[in-house]
Amino acid sequence: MPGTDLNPADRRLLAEVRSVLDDVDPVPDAILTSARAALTWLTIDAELAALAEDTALASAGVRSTGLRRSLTFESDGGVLAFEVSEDGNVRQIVGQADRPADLTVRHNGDPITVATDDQGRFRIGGVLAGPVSLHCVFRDTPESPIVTSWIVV
Amino acid sequence: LQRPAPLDPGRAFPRRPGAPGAPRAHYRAQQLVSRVADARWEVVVDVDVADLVRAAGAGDQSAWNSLVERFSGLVWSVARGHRLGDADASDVAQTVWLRLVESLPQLREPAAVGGWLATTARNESLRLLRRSGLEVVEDDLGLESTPADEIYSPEAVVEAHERRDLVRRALDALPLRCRTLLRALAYSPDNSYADISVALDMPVGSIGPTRGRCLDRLRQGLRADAPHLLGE
Repeated sequence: MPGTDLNPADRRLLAEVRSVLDDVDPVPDAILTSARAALTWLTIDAELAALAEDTALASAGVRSTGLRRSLTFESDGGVLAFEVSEDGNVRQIVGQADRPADLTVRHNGDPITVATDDQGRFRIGGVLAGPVSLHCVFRDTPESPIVTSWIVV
Repeated sequence: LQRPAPLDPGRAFPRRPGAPGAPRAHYRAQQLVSRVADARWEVVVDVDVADLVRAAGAGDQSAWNSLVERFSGLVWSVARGHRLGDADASDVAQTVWLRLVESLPQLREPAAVGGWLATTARNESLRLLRRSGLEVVEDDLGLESTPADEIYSPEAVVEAHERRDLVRRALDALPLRCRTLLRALAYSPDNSYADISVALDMPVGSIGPTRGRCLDRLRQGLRADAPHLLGE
């Protein structure tokens, strides 16, 4: 086999490792299913907004409950900043776009659509824990939507 | 100590040959050998994978499924190598594939998608561990870092009759770096270095020796309890 200089004993041992892991810790079917389905999110119309800031916010005294995070996503087309607060398996997202927009939250549940107020502010409840991405259509430039990079919340 | 993972794995994965800090990747030939002039970055293009990535980027579901088929074990093994539980490892794996979808249009080294996936899985795993408030210590390869007798207590050995338990225990006893390296090697197509050097932030030149040490340590662990597995 090219490239690797594994001797036969090493190769056998690695094969053993793989067969054991296949046995005791296979990739769950649900992961394979969601990985295959991920391609449906291929959007060529939206510009990708990269994560620029991810800060854990100190919450008064209490650790591990009511955790909040502050996230900022930026692209040439616009900026989205929001806080995520946890309540069990559900997340609430409160934030602001740099101008008025219509938002769609992509997450493990059905997509949630909200409109910001005229300051760009928004509040979204009922977001499920797991990977989340926001698709954002600005009202002044609807032809140039942005979409935030996926992140686990 | 583990240095902080960059926020954006797309940025974190150095694509520019010879860029400062770029790892020495060595992609092996399958069909076409194309050596880049820069000797620090010897790239041998895997045409199959690159074609799959381009086709998937054009919306080809069957090409995408092939990528999932080929690399899902690698992604999963990196998350598990960081000792993530079911829910966290699932979040990481799901996110990694979603990230690849969003990155398909601008992926500049489609043939190196395996390394990209492994790197993203590592960064997401570390991000999740940090968020959970768990301290991430990338233990070195020092033999003293894992007291083997804790894992190989008489009680544990008595319980571990089955081959898979023995191997799993031996794996679990390894330091993070070894565990991740061996799991990734086992799941990387053809045990390739390419996917792994980037993921573990190791120069390709040191993977061979490290792999040797890690395999030796695994053997030591097995030798104690299961010499028959080593043919001894």
